[in-house]
Amino acid sequence: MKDESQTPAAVPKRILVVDDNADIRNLISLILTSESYEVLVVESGAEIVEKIALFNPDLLLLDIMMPHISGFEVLESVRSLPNAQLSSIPIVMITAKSMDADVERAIALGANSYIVKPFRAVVLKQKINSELTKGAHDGR
Amino acid sequence: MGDKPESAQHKIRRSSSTGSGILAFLAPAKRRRLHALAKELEVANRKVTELESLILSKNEFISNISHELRTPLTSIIGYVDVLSTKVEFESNPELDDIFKVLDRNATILISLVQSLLALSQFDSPNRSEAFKAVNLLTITEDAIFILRSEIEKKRISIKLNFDPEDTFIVEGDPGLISQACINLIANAIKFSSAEKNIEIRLIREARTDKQSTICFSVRDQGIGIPPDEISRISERYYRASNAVSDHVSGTGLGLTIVAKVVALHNAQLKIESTLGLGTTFTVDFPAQLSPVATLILNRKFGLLAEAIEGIQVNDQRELKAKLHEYGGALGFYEFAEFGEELLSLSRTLSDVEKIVDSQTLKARDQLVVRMKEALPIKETGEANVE
Repeated sequence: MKDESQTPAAVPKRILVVDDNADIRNLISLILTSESYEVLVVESGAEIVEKIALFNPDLLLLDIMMPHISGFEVLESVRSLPNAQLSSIPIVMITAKSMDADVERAIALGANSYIVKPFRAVVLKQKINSELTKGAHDGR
Repeated sequence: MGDKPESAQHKIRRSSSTGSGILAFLAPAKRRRLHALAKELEVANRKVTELESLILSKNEFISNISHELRTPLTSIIGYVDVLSTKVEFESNPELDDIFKVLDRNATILISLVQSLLALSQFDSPNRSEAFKAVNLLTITEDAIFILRSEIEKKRISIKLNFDPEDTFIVEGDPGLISQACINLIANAIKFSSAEKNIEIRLIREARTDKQSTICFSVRDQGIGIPPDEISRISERYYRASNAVSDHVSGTGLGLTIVAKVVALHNAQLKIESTLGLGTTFTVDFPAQLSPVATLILNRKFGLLAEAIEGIQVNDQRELKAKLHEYGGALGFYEFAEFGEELLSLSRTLSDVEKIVDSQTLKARDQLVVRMKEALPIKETGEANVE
């Protein structure tokens, strides 16, 4: 069953991207805006706290390895937010460590999926689209 | 000097309380020899620990390097993808060629980084301890799903055959088995021309010792492998001559990983190929150890313990020879010559292809523990000799 309202062109979905590397942030932004998503990029976990409620994203794309506050900590914080809608958004982790332990930990902490660096643009698009579609089917 | 007999008695009582107690009734000379042997074992164990620590450091180094490589690679590969959407290739065929080269090499780089990290993980000591029940059917279906864009691009028809009444559970590392399945199916796609068929089969075969084998096979209608190159095909960086001449890109690591996964799981890799007609890769996974095999293994423990306790020798050299003889006769080669063998075993651990029997390794470890428990060894690791 295809729901036309889920295509990026119809209703722009908002994606919040957190990565400490400026080149990667800009790259993800370029790839996702070309798919008509509305993208906000931030460079640290600390910024999430102030931006997430304002931006009200449909999906969070989160780097695991960041200085000061790791992606795992951000993931835990988001999942424990009092706002049920925000705390249940799909979260896709970006990892440069494809070790099973990191992936298992992220999933255990509530991540929906993960993507391993380096990734192709088409894989990123597929992953985001797939998570947003799943979220839509789950009632979001 | 005067307190030695008392100390020895104390140690004998301590050894009795540890469970075995049989050694307390051995002749003093024999106990001394066993104590000396225990010392050697301690030294060897310390060296094994040092080597394991070195392996861990090396893996950590590769993991860090891999991470450092991945981040800049993400930018390079990602921006190539972005640029390719912004260039008018029709008006500039030269640029089209350049982007094709960039694209092909980006794919190779991704594959290389992932393969190097996967290969480093094989060197982790006791990798097999993390084994769990793995459903080969789920792993296969997931692999096909992951590769769907390549399958669709070449309009390949994939047929998955299995007995729906059966289950395909093996003991192993799910991440590694998954990687091996993906590599085999990805190869079949890569070496097939458009619109060919690939057949993946999961079947159970019964073996004579009542143990069963689960066979995972991938049959393609691709370019095949030259007969004289089949034996070398899983060597690190080796690429079949027709793959190179047909300009099929690759790293030469995919089948190396498959071979290592196969060895780690005590499985067997079979390759049948006809040049120009296709190749079938089959991996025979042993199903869980049957009750009969467990019984035989336990009996071996008992026999070896009895053999050690009943040894009559004059010197350490003779003792070692006897241990070698008994250990060898029962198949516990690693246990037979403690010192050097343990060291060489630790090296063997880093070379998974040489591990022939994980049960034997477990048996060795359990026997070492039993030896330590049975022998009156001080906290410092030195034996208390009369």
